[in-house]
Amino acid sequence: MTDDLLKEATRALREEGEEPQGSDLTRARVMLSLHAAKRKRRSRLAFGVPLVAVFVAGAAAAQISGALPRAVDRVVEVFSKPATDTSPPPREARQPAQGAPLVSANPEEPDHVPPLDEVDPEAEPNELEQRADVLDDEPPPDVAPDVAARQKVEEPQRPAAPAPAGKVPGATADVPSRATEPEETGAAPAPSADPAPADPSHRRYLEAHQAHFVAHDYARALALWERYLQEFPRGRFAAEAQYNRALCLVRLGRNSEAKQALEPFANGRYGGYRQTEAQALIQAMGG
Amino acid sequence: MSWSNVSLRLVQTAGDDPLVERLVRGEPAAVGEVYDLHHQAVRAFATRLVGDASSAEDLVHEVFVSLPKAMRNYRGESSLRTFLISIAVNHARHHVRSAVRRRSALERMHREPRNDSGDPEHDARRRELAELLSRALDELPLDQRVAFVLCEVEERTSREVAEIVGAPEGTVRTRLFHAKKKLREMLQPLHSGGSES
Repeated sequence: MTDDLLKEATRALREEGEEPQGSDLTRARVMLSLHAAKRKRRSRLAFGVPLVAVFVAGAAAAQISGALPRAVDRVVEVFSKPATDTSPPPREARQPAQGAPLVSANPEEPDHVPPLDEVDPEAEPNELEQRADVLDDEPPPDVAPDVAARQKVEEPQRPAAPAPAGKVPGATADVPSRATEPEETGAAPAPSADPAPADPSHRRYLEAHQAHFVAHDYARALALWERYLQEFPRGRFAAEAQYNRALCLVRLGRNSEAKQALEPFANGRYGGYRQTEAQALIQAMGG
Repeated sequence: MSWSNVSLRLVQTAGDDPLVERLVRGEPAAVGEVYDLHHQAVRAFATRLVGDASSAEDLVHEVFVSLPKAMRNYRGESSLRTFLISIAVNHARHHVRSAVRRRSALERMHREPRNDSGDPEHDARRRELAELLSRALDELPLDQRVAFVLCEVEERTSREVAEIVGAPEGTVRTRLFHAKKKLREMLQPLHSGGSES
């Protein structure tokens, strides 16, 4: 009997489903929903595509004008700065760290260079030498990582050699170079096989960088930096090349030219970029 | 695999059915045409499954709105109608729940019976039985409910049902067996009470 009831109820339910119901209304609802979804997709495209295009064009323009690396550097600097940090800014803290990535500077490292006014005036030439060592051993932050990494590989354990005599007035041999402490930076070694950069400006920069920071041939480096600046006056690394050129002049003892080259940095023409270092170097040179 | 590849493969497997191709491209007009062709079958299944006209309409709406997106999974191996039923099965859970809630509310409000055929007595009896079965179906797990509606109410073959629900035929038969067993147990007291009264 239960089987009969189940069959009867099943038949009743079957007949219920066969009754025509409000199909027109549901059809209208379906079409409305589909058109609304299509409109939503179109409006998303209409707003999204121009926004993306503006962003890409802006980034490309910044890249061409050389402002992008500096902007990225600023952003990284802002975000890597601790809120309660009263110590000098990260750029200064990073100075001796050879090849250290921007965000991995260890604030506990004893690598902060004291301001020159705290130094005995008699030791000024030493300080100048130390400054030059410190500053020219640091790979420029604007350089692509492969440049910095290559330098790191090529001189992983550079001995604490004194600066060449006569290159900086009053240079002494017992001033330890910051480059003797590469392990403190904690930077990972870079791959040894590094393909040559395709970008000509990058290649020129690399040549000058090698002459300056690897071969320590400051006269040749000066010529190469000047050639880079002549060929790519608005190049991606132009600001860094200007600064490195000034360092070469310091190394070669051409102090008046060096001061002239460092003044734009010290006066803040490049914002805060290398400002502290340039001021310290000018001061050390007796400016 | 990229979307374009998927679409291309679907178009190829769908053969030369231009309607399917337009659906794959997401044309709303194509969805309208499919609605006109298949809405009755989908609505009938939805009504039988959820047991409530209003929830069934919501389910029908959802099936056709989600059709362009669901076409990415259409292999062309089954008919479009079968594919629509399988979409309805996939979207049924939420609607079954809302139908159960609605039915409970209507019971509390003592809904007035409708008289829409020449034989009011027959209509009343049929509606009463359909509601009785719908209430009993509310107690079943969804997969057993779907198996019962598709096999017994819609009289589909177990192979077709297996295709719709994406389960082996044996599983479908097992679900149906358990569903019928439970429904008999639930209808037994009602039947005894009805014969006593």
